[in-house]
Amino acid sequence: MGQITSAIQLIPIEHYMILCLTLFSIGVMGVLFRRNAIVILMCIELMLNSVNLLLAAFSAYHADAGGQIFVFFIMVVAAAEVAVGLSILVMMKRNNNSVDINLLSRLKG
Amino acid sequence: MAALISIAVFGIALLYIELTNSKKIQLPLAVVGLLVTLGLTVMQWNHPSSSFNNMAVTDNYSVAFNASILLSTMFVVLLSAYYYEDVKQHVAEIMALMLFTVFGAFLITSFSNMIMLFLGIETLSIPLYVLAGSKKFSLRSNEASFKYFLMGAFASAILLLGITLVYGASATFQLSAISDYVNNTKQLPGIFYMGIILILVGFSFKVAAAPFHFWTPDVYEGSPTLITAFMATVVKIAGFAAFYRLFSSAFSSIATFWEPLLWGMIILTLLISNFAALLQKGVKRLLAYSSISHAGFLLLGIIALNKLSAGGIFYYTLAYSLATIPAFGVLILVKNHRNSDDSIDAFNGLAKKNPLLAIVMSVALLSMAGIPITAGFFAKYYIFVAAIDSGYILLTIFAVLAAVLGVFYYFRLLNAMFLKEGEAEKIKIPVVFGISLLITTILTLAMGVFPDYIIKLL
Amino acid sequence: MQTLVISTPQDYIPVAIQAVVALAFVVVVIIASNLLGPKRKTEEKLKNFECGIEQVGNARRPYSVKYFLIAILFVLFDVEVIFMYPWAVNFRTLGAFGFWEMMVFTIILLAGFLYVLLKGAFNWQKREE
Repeated sequence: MGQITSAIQLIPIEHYMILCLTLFSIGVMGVLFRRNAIVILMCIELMLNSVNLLLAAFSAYHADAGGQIFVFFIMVVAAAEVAVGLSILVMMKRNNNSVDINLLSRLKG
Repeated sequence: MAALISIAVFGIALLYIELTNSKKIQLPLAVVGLLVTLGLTVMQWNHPSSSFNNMAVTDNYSVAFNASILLSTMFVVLLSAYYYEDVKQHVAEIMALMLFTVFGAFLITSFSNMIMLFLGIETLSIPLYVLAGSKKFSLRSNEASFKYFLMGAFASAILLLGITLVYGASATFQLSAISDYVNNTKQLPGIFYMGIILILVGFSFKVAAAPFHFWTPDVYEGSPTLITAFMATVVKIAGFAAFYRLFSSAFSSIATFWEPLLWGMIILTLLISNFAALLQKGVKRLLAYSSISHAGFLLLGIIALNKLSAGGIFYYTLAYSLATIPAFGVLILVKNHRNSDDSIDAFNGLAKKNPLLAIVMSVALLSMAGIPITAGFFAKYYIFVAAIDSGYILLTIFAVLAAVLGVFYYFRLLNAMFLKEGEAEKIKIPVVFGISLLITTILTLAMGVFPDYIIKLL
Repeated sequence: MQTLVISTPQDYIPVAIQAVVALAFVVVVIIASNLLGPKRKTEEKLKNFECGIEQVGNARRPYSVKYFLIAILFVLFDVEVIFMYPWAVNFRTLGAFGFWEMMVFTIILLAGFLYVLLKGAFNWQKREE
C-alpha cells in the first residue's frame, strides 16, 4: 500500500474532502428539496457513496486498511437499505398510484 | 456472542416456520428463542469478554441493557399473538423481524468499534422500516413506513459522515484508540469537531430528540400500534445505551465541546414535546410526544456523565419500557373496541366497566409522569441526582418544571378514564394480554418500591 | 528499503494515448463500415429487433412489478460478493479458518436464498393465474 499512499498524498487531503463534502451536500439538498421519492432515494445513495469515497481517501492517506473495510460494509448495508426502501415505495405506489411525496400528508398534528 | 448467535438462529427459524404454515408453534418458538437468549445473556453477567476481534465487548453494562431489551421484546411478542389474530399471514415473519431488530440492538449496546455501531444501527433500523409498514393495505402505515425509512436513511448517512470525519482525524474506529487520540493531541483538527457534531445529530435523529424529532409523531401514529410500542421501547433503550457508551468512552475528554450542544437540545426537547403533548387529541400521538419528552430526560443522564449516569439511564429506560408497553396494550384494546378511534374521548368512563384496564393504564401513566411508588419517580429522581452531581442545577430545575408540566397531560387521560361519563362497555381481555399487562404493572410498582436492586446493578 | 515510486501526471500519457487510439479505432470502423458496406433497406431490416417475431408496441413501457422482485433480489445477492474479494485475496494467509468462516457466511446467504425460493418469489408464472 506504500506506493498508493505516497501517490495519493501528492494531492492534499483537503481536495478529497472538498469533493466528498460537495457531493454529500448535493445529496442532502436533493433529499430536502426534491419531490419524487425515487430521486430522494438516489440522493441518499449519493450521500452514502460520497462518504465511501471520503473513507477510501482517508484510508489511503493514513495507510490504514480499516477505512476500506468499512466501505465494503457500507456498500452492502446501502444495498439492503435500498432494497427495503424500494419495496416500501412499490407498496406505496400500489395503494396510492404515485411516488410524489407531497401525497404523504395524511399524518399531521 | 452466544446470545447474538442464538437470537439470529431463532429469527431465521421463525422465517422458515412461516413457510410450513404451522401457526401453532410460532409464538412458543419466538418466546423460547427470547428466553434462551435471555439465559445466555444473563450468564455473561460478571464475565466480561470481547468478540469479533475486539470490535464488540460484553460487559455488565451491555448485559443489563440487553436483558431489558429482551424483556420488552418478550411482552411485545406476547401481545402480538392477539394483535395479529385476524391477520392470516406473515405473523411469524413479523416476529422474526422483531428478533432481527433485537440482534441489531445487541450490537449497539456492546460495540467498541464504530463499524459495529453503524452495522448495529442499520440492523436495528432496516427491519423496523418493514415493521412500520406491516399493515400492507393501510395508507397510513405505508406513509409511516416511508417517512421512517427516509428519515432513518438520512440520519444514518449523517452519522456515517460524522464517523468518517472522526476517522479522518484519528485514523481509527476503535473507541479506546479514539479516546487515546483525544488525550494525546494538543490541537484537535476541525474535522474532528465537525465529526462529533454530525454524530450527535445522527444520534438525536435516531433517539428522537428535538430539533430532530419531527418524524416521530407521524411515524408513531401511522405505524401499527404494537409496532409503535416496540419502536418506543426497544429502539429507545438500545439508542440511549449506544449514545451513552459512545460519548462516555470516546468523547468524554472533550465534554466541554459537546455538552453545550446537548444542553440546548435538552431544553428544546423538553419544551417542544411537553407543550405539543398538551395540545394533542389522539392518545397515540400524545404518547409519541411523551416519548420525545422522555428522550429529553434521558439526555440529562448523558450530559451528567458521572458514575451515576449509567445506572440512571438503565433504570429510566427500563421503567419507561415497563410503562409504555401496558399503555400501548390498553390503547390497542380500547382502539379495537371503538373502531380505531384513539382520541382521549374514547377512554371516557373506562374505569366503570373495565376497572382492570383503567388501573393498568393509570399505573403506566403515573409512572411516565413520575409519581411516587411507581418506577417512574425513581427514574427521574436518579437522573436528576446525576445531573445535579455534575453541577447542572439550572438544567435540572428546568427539567423538574417540564416534568410538572408533563403531569398535566397524563392527568387529562386519567380524568377521562375515572371522572368522565362514557358509553363504555365491558372489553374482553385475552388471556396472554391480561398476563403481560399484569406482569408489567406489578414490575413497575415493584421497581418503584425496591429501586435499589436495579440501580445497584450498574 | 523499497524505492519510492511517485506517479506524476506525465506517467499517465501512455494511458491517454491508449484511450485516444481505442476511441479512434471505433470511430474509424463505424465510419468505414457505413461508407463501404452495401445498403439494402427493407422494412424487416429496419426493425429494432430482427428476430422473426412481430414486435409489439414501444420498448419504453412499464414492466410487470413482479420483475422488480427479481431485480431487488439480484442486487442483494450480487452485492454480497463484495465480502468474497478480501477473502480471495488473502486466501492463503487465512487458511482453514478463513475457509470455514466463509462457509458459515455462504450458508447464511443460502438460507436466505432458500427462503426466497420456497416463498415462491421466482415463481411469477404461477402467481399470474
